[in-house]
Amino acid sequence: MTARRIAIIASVVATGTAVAAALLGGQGFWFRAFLYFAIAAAATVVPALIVVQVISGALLAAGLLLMPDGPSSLVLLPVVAGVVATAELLGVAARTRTSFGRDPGDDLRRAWISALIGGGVFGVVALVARFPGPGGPVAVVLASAACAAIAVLLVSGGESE
Amino acid sequence: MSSATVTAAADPLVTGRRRADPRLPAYLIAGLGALVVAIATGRPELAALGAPFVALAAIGLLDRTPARPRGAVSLASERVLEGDVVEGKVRLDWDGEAEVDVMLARGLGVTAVDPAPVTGWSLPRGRGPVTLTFQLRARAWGIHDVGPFWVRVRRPGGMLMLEQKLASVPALRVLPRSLRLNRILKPSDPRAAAGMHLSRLRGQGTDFAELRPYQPGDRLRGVSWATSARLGKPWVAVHHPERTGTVLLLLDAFFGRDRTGAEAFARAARTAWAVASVHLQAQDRVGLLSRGRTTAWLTPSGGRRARWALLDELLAVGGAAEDPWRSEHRSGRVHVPADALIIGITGLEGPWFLSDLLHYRRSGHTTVALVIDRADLLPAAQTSLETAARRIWLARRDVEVHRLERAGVQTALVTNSENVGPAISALRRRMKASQHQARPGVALR
Repeated sequence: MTARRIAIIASVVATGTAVAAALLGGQGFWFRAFLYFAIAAAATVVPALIVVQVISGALLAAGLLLMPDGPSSLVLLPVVAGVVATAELLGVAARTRTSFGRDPGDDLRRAWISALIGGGVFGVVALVARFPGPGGPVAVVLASAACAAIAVLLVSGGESE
Repeated sequence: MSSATVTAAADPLVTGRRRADPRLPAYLIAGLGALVVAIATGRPELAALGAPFVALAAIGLLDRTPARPRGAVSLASERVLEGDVVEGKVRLDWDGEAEVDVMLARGLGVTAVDPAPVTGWSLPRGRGPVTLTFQLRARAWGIHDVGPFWVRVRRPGGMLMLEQKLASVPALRVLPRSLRLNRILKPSDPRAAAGMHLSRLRGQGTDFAELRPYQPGDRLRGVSWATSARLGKPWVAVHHPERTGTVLLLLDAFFGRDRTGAEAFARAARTAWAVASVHLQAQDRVGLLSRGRTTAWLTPSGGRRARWALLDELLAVGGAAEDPWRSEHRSGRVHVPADALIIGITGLEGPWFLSDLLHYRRSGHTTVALVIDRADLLPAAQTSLETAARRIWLARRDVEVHRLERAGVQTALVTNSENVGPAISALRRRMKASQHQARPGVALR
């Protein structure tokens, strides 16, 4: 698959993410969603903009989370997974865009796995944060650290095979 | 050409530089930022938002064991002719499993044949060692710095990569194609050493000069018996002694940095080498002075050593001409032997070269110029504007040529189709004609 096709897929995923965010956020989110899409589209040409794409995606999701009467945090799972998937695909496109041939098969597989890990970690931590108990940020930070450790262990097990 | 394999140093040339994938700073900023804001504001949802980014950053940084890439590059031959294809090998090894990109960085004076269009490979996830073969076509004459080879190593799934200049490709000496040339120009005042030019002096030689009455001291073998019998008293035949001449090639290295400029310069160098070779074969002393992208000065000398020194200088000039980062400069004029024939080889691109040629002419040297024709290298004119630009360009060249000829510098155009032979013949005719005009009483061959 060529870098151009991968960039197109990344743009499609970014469009889906932006549309999902706009639908969840309502009227006030259309502009932010469009801005996110524009940044993602620009990052298909300038790989350095991946940083801006991820941060703008995180801000978009944070805006939805912090909305009064906003959607449930678990509903945001596709948005977070979409931001991660877009960033990973943009990274693959940048790597494939070399003057000598590169087979992006391995990279693409890893991009989808990363999106799954990102969405999964977000879902697990969001679920933990809803449980009654000690509550507050400390519990959430502990939960996220545990999730990160689990993700690392899972991936490191796969690498050593 | 030479079939010996030439291998470059196997040690890394510079310490590797670690670079981060653009996703790594993005994930760290988004993840840690969200966690910090979550703690500060007491909103657990934000911590959930930051967690996946932190997790992905952690995965990307997981395997940071150094890959320690190492390798060597070899060429099947270090001397090739223009247009030849030279094969090479890269032997690479690294620790552990990694994805490796390899690329030949500069590639001056050569064109990638296989792999093409760039000599580079992207190796899939795997372990070393590997051997990669490549082919390069020697595009332009000169001593070329083809390397170095760069490697970029990344652990599978990692977000850190190591970039390292691994090894230099041995310098490739691309020799100019030989041009068929069997004519030489006659230096103005041949020297008193054995050679093949005629001196205006009379002496021992094979070329007849004149008959004169016998004088005491003349050798008997010089007596022309037929003439003596006819005239009734002894006459002797006098011959021209064969002497060497001094030739200085003044190579104009002011050429454009585009592809046509490089090709025009290559033509100039081939012409210089052809002229130098044939004069060296004639036992002349040949020197080289080059101006422009590089400066070279080789005092006139003869023999096999001079031939190799001249070729080396020309190759160095050619290598410099291919280097786009070289700046043009002009050094001062050099003192050339009084008897030297100055042969300027120029594309009439640089403003200073003409004044140099005229300076040597005004100093009393016999000076000629071989003008390298590059009209065939220009793109075909599509519009009337381009046609006009082409005509202006040709007119400007004609003006420069007339300026030289008015000052007594005979010129001839070296075209790509006819090479240098007809140009040398034309110069010989013009030099002979001008010498007849200047010294009507002197017999010329």
